[in-house]
Amino acid sequence: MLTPHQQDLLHRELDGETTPEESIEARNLMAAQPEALEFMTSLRDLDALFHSVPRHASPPGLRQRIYGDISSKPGRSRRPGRAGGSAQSVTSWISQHWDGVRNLTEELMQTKKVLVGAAAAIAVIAVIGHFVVGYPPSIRDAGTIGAGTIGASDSITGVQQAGRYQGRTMTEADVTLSNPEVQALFQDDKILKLVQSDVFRTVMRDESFRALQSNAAYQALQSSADYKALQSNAEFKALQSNAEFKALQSNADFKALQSNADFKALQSNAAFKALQSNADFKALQSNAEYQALQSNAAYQALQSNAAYQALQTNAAWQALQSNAAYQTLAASQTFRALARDQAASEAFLTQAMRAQQ
Amino acid sequence: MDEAIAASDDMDRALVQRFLDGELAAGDELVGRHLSRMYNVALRMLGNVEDAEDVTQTAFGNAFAALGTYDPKYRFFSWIYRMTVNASLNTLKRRRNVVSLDGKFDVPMSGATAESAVEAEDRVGRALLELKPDDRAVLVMRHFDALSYEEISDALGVPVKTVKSRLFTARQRLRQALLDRRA
Repeated sequence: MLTPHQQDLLHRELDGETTPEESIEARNLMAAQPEALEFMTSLRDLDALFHSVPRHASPPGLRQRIYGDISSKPGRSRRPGRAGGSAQSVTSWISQHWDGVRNLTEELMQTKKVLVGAAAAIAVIAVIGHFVVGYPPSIRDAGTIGAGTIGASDSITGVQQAGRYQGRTMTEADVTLSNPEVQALFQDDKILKLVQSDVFRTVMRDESFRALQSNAAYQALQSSADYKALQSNAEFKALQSNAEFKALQSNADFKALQSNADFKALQSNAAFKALQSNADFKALQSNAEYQALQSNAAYQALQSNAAYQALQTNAAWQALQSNAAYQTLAASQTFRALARDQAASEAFLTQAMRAQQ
Repeated sequence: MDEAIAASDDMDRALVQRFLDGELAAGDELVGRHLSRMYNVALRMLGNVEDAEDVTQTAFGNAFAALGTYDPKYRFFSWIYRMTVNASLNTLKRRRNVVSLDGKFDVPMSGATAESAVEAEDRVGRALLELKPDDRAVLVMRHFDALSYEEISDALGVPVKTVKSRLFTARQRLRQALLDRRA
């Protein structure tokens, strides 16, 4: 029977809240007491279960409604059917949808066929902006100038077209070189060379890569200092290209171990035995950064993620992992956001090929 | 603190300042940076899409209404997170009862989601709704959002010691709830 202190220690070890000394104490406890290992395994299973729950995209229109709230009087733009509110003043409408209109005009400008329409739209907006709210709308004047009303916003084509840019789906229009963050990425020669390479293009088009971008555990891991340090660790790089280690990664027993810590089963596994005698692996085992990573809850959850497992056996992915430019790119929030979406990924790759080194 | 997180926090602070200086688009960008995470917190707390949507909108509305009082020495993320959790807890209090079991878990699954993920969402979602709101809150913060004890303590306004005992107890209860449901 585990004492309350021992249980407390294992809970904190799971949460990464132990000191190095306590962490050693926890590991010793698990090695000495099967009950402690079983307890820890159940906690890890629970944690892994949480991490396997997908993150949901926020509902379409929610961002737009919040924007309406913050740019006008609170509660003015509640969700239809729940809190009412239909008529909006012209100034409020302009303020709430300004970015959407701007995005729309940018897209229109990209298509010569509708250039005339874009010019007309800009002219109309400019006139409204000049005579009604001024340009650009600011927080100080938002909602303060009453200038008549327009009917239900659903009846306005412009609102519908602009509104889609507030949603989750990204298009090439969102990944234009006019986006300062994407532009900054492309201005880095190493990153540009990387994103134009075949290996990168193969990985970015991989469905599991996109799935991984939405994985909370993976996101947490990407920003983990331990993980970054490990990726640059020479011993870990050597291990990644080690044939026996690769074999182990796709070994079913090893995968099972990653999620249930059934260490005894692993002892009888041939691939694992081979790995145990591998010099690189031995060095890695005593590497402090690797040890820290192994007790990282996000890393453990990621190991049991199907998309991550699929990518681990992808040769192109393995090559990317040790690439410094990729590590910089992966740390970019903009890149992570667009990499979750197939259309945006394609747009990004297209833009990358057009960019000049 | 991790450099990436620190850089992200600095970006938040800059956006807050730009919004306070009158740049409306900075507010929208700030919302965009945190919307998905706050919506998912509310969704896990409430188990209902409509309520989660309302709570998220309310939390951001409250946060921006009080943005003038925001102290930039603290993380904006922690600030909006606390408001989202509190708004969720208030909604649960208004419901008066701990909603549980049959048919109350109302989160539609994405068609593109893997079967195992759908199953996990259903299992965890239903089991979470059987717990008391305070227990649910610490589990959501720790396991879905990987917040530290200190961050959970800040968000809930309770001592770290309370966070630990509540979290450890909540885990046991959740494990039991999952076992009961399986049985």
